[in-house]
Amino acid sequence: MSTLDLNVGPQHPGSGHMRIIVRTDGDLIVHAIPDIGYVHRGCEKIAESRNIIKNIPMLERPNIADSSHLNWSYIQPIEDLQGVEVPERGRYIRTILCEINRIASHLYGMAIMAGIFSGHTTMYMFGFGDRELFLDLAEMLTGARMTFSFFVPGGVRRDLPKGFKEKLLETLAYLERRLPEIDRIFVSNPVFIERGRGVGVLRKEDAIRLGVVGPVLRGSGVRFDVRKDSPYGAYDRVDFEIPTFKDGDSLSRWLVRFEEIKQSISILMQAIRDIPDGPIARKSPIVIPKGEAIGRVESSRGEINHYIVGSGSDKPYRVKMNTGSFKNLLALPFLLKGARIGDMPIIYGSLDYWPVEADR
Amino acid sequence: MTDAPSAQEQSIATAVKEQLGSVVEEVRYDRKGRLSLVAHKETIREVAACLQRLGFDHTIAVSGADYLAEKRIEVVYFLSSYSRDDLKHLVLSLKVHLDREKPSLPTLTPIWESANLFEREAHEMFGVIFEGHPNLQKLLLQDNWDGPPPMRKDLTFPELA
Repeated sequence: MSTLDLNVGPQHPGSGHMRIIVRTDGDLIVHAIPDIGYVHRGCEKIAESRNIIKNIPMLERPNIADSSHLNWSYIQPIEDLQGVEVPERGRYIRTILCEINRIASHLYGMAIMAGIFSGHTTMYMFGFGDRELFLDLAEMLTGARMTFSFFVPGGVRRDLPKGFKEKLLETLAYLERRLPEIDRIFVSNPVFIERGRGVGVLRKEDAIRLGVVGPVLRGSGVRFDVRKDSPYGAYDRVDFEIPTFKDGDSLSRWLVRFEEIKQSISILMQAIRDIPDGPIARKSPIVIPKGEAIGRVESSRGEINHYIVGSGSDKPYRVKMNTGSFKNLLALPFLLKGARIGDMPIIYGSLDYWPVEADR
Repeated sequence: MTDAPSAQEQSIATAVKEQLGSVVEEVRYDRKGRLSLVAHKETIREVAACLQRLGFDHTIAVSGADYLAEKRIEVVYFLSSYSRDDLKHLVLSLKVHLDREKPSLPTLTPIWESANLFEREAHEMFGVIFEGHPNLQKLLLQDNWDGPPPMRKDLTFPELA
C-alpha cells in the first residue's frame, strides 16, 4: 500500500491556525492527526499574575465570536468562592447578552464553517449581513461589538440603555422573517443536504465516550444542555427546547445550530418581557478567597468550565480554562479516519471548531 | 458553601462512598452540584472504574495544579454524566495528590477516553507522567521547548512579575 502524507494548514482557510497531518490512500484518509498550539498564548499562566478584574479582557479574548460565555464562565467560580449572589436583573441582562452572542456566533459559523466550506457564497453573505445587526445590539448594550468585558463579579457593568427593548424586538422580528429565507436557500437546499447527510457520522455512544459538547453532542442525539440540566442566570425562568437530531452526521450538527437560533429568539423575547426592576450588580470584594470552584456555562460551542483556585489575594492561584473546541477536538481524528479528502472541509466545518479557544 | 446538600446529592454521595468502601476516605459536598473525593494513585484505576460503572461516563475537564509550598502536584478529574439523568447536574472532582519531584499516575484514558487531550496537556504543563497513555506527546507547546514544565510555580517570567 502506498500512502501519501498531506499537511493541511496551519494557514487559513481550511484548517485555520492549526495543522492536520493527514495520511491518505488514494482519496481515503487512513488517519488524521490534529496538531494544535499555533495560537497558544499561555493565558492560564498570565492569569496567575494578574488581578481578577484585569483578567477579564484577556480570558475572554480566546473566542471573540463568543466572548460573553467565556466571560461568564470565568466569573461564575469567582462568585461561588466569594459567596456573591447576582441580583435578578443582572442575571437577566447576562442571559440577554449571551443569547445575542449565541445568535451572532451561530450565524458566523453558518456563514463560514457551513457556507464557505460547502461552497455556498450566498450563505456567507446572508450570515455576515444578519450577524452585524446582533453585533449592533451588543454594542448598544455594552459599547463593544465583540469583546464586551461586560460581566464582573457581582453582576454586569451597565443597565439596559434607553430604547434597547424596542431595538431588540425589531431585530428579532427581522431575523424571524429572514430565517425562512435562509432555510429555503441554504438549510433545505438539496445540495447542502446531500453534502452533509451521512458524512462524518458520530454515533451516540461515541459522542458520550469522547465527551464532546454542545451542538456536536446534540447532533448525535444526546439531550444535554447546561442551560437546562444545570441552570444558571435566568435560564430557569424561561421556557425553551433543546433541539437534538439523532443521525450524528455533519448535517445534523448544523441543523442543531439552526434550530438553536430559533430557541434563542424565543429566550430573548421572554427575557426582555419578564426582566424585573432592581439593581444590576452587588458589590463584590476584589479578592478571591482561598478554596476552589468550577463553573459550568453552555457556550455556542458547548460546555465551558473554568476551574479556579483562590489564593486569598486579588490574584487567582490557578485558572484552568476548559473550552468547547478543546473538548470537541477529540472527535476530529475519529471522524476523519476512513473519510474522503473531499469531505474533510465539511466534517471540520461541522464541528464549528475555534482554534484560539482550544489553544488558549 | 453555606447551603446543605439536597436529598438527591446526599444519596449519590452515599452511594459513591458505599461502592468505594475503604479506598476513599470521604465524599465531600463542596457546594450545590459539586462533590469531591481524594483518591490514592495506587488505587485510582479501581476508583475510576467504579465511578464509571456508577454512571460518570465522561470527563468535562482534567486539570493539574502545582502546590509549591506543600510540595505536591494535584491532578483533578472533573466527572459528569450524559447517560444518567440524575447525575447530569453534578460535577464530581476526583483528586489525586502526587509527589512534586516525581509526579506520576496510571492514565485513566482506558476508562474515560475524553481525558486523552487533557492528560497530554497536564503532562507538558506540569510534568505529570501518565503511565500507559497512548500518546504522551507535546500538545500546545512548541516542539523545541526544552525548559521546565511552564505551569510549575517555580518557573517565573520577568514579564509577568
